[in-house]
Amino acid sequence: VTLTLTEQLRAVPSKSQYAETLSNTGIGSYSAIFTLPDEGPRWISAVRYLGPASRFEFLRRLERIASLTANWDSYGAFPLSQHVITRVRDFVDTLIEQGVPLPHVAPSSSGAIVVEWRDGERVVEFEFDPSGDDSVSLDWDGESVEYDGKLEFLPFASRLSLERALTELAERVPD
Amino acid sequence: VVQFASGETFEGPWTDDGSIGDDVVAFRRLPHDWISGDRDLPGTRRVNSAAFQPHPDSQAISVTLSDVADGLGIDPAAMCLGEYAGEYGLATVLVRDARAQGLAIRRVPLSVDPGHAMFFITDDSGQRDERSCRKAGKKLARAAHLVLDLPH
Repeated sequence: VTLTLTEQLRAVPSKSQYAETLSNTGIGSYSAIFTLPDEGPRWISAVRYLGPASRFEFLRRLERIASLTANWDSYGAFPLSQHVITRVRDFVDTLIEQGVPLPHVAPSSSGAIVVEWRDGERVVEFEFDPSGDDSVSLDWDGESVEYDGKLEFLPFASRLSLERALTELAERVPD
Repeated sequence: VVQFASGETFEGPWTDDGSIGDDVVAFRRLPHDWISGDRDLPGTRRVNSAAFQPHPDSQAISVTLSDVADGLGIDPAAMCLGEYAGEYGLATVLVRDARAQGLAIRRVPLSVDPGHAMFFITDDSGQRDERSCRKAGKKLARAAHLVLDLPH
């Protein structure tokens, strides 16, 4: 069965409906496939409708990362620092308040945590390092950002590119 | 000097081993968090950019080379058996892809992993450059293939 874009969008529950469903079922995530005109099928796995349950799921992931013991990667990695966990939580919380979907978070062997939004080949990525020297990477519709250093010193042009990408992600979550 | 969990050590040299061919395949185990994507959407599962990052002590990325496993008649999937069963997937990259990102490679055989090798970058003074290795590792992850996903 092939649904039109309108039919597919209609089939996707609203955020409020979804939040209500989540609170009843405990399910913490939702993915949708859209068929966009002239572009064909396109998956949006990064879209996770936000509500208390989603944030709960995100925090649960962070807690699990925080509880990783030495050698969690099988290559001798150290446990993650609580300081990095807190920074990631605060950062993502700020974005969630602005409607940005839940990101994928992954610890690295170096002790950093990668926060990533991906839509096909388009990607926004922040890396939070224990040293405070973070990095940002963006590849979004021809725009590219590669930055190493403290986030507060991110150049204005790069900040704009990031805001555009994150705003687009937020706008793709149906009201 | 880099010391491994087994107690074995490696002192160098930290130079590229040209005898390792570009077509040699390097394997790396992947814990759950290093595999992104949705299981319900075929084709979306892939290796996360966190997967190829250096250890803070060695400032290098551990892998297992296929030529050694082939020579010993070992199936690379055995890297994810035993204590690792059900907890780790497996990614591959070509040595060519690593070198294309400026990474050097050196065999560091361990008793538990005879094919063990390390990707790294050195600066002009010959010291390992962790920051450059991290950046190269992120790009390398994009070229990696997920060859063994984790079970549901």
